[in-house]
Amino acid sequence: MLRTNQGYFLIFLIEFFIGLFFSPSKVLAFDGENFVTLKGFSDIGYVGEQAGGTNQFRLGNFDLLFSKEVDSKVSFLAELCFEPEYQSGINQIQSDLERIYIQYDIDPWVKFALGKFHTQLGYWNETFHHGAYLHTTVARPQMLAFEDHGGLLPIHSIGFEIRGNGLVGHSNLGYNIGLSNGRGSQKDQLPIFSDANREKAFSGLIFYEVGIGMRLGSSFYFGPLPGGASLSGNSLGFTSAPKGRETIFGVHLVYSSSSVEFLSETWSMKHTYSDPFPDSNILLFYSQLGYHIELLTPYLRYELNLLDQPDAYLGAGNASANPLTGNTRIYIAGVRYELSQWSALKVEGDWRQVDGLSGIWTGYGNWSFTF
Amino acid sequence: MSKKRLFLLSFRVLIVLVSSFFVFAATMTEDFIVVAHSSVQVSSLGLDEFHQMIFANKKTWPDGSKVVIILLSSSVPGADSLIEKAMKMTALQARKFYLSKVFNGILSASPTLGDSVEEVVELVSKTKGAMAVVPVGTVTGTAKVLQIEK
Repeated sequence: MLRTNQGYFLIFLIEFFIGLFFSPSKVLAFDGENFVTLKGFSDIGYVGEQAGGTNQFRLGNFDLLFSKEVDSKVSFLAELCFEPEYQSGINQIQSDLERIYIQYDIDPWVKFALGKFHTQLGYWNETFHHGAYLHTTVARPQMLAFEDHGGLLPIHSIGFEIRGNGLVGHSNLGYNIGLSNGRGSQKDQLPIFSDANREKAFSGLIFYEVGIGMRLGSSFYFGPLPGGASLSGNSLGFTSAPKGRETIFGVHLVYSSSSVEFLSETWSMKHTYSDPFPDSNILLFYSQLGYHIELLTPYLRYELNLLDQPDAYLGAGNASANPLTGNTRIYIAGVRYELSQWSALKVEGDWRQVDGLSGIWTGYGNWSFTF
Repeated sequence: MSKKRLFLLSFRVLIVLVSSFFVFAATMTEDFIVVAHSSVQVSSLGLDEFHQMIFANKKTWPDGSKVVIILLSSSVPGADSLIEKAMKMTALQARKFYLSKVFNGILSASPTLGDSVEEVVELVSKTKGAMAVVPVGTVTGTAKVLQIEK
């Protein structure tokens, strides 16, 4: 048996690809007792856009999740995502380590984890991650899009979390508190290695599951907007990234039964800046309703982004990744069909209306799967 | 619509929905039984505790051993309705639910599936900390039947 590091690596590579393409067990074995679980997601679709008048077949993310219980107390999880993108006139695939953390379970009420997480901001961001198959719709709500895809909320955090849950009354009560680097100088630049300032972001979530399938929760986030970076060509005409503080409060309500899925989340976001940038208040809201008829799920979603004025931080940086220039309403209708146990077809249309601009529609066809 | 009015509308909708939550009460049918590995040191579970375990919110038995959930594969006739009775969701939703738990890092892997009731019972009998839901009348062998208290 090979015992060298190179030997283990060779075995890993061989079993990785065997596991990826041929094995239904999705387990990578290094030796007789040591296993890493592999799961994956991907999706491929067709998009017709009124904006630009283009239509195209489009690759979705190719997402790999590795998890392992190192022993009865320690576990780790890593999520590696390959993201097709079109930026600055170039089609490309970027790889990104979306999550990686190691966790120590003291008891069910206290679990300590260190690494890169999805920020504790409500339900969607903690539940669906990068797998399009998991959520009913084709796309995430715009406010919850990833930082480099026009998202408005701080989706990822690098730092530590303390979380736990347990039976209180008749149902499950859970919490999650985190301390992290917070946002980068620009919202699509996450400080994964070097933080732009000494301040840290403090965030948390508490939720209660009432009965089966119902959940009510609230979340908060207090963090710095570090500023400092020089900008060029941003949509608001600033030459340097704004410095300030960010405060977010959110609530969510989820109901899921064998026939109905209802998700609703709202956040109030306040950005307080040093001069000369004006403070801003932003309200983000979405509500999604789906009805299961056997393998078919028709659904509707309404999204609303209200801002009292263009926001200096969200408007800075790459214009294509900063769509929030005015109050935005998005109406989405679609249908999902469970094609097989682990794949789904979705057809969806959305109508996007920004104050002062003509509304535009986008149509999607999508085949998502997990393996 | 002004921001204030939107907040008030959202708040009212939340109040109505939250109120409806508390009207909801989970019920237990007599259509299934819960079996566990013989080493499990309890003979009964409260209904809430059973739900905590089957939904992977509680991952250990009182003695600290790990709860291992074993499910009947959807290919077995009657398996889907069994899951629906125990989890109040369709088998499809249950699969996605456990997949989501894996992606959340709460479970390291989805539950093991048995291709027949007999195989599920056999897996439970052989796996320390295992728990499964099986139809009433199942021959449970060395697996321990847990009473579910409402």
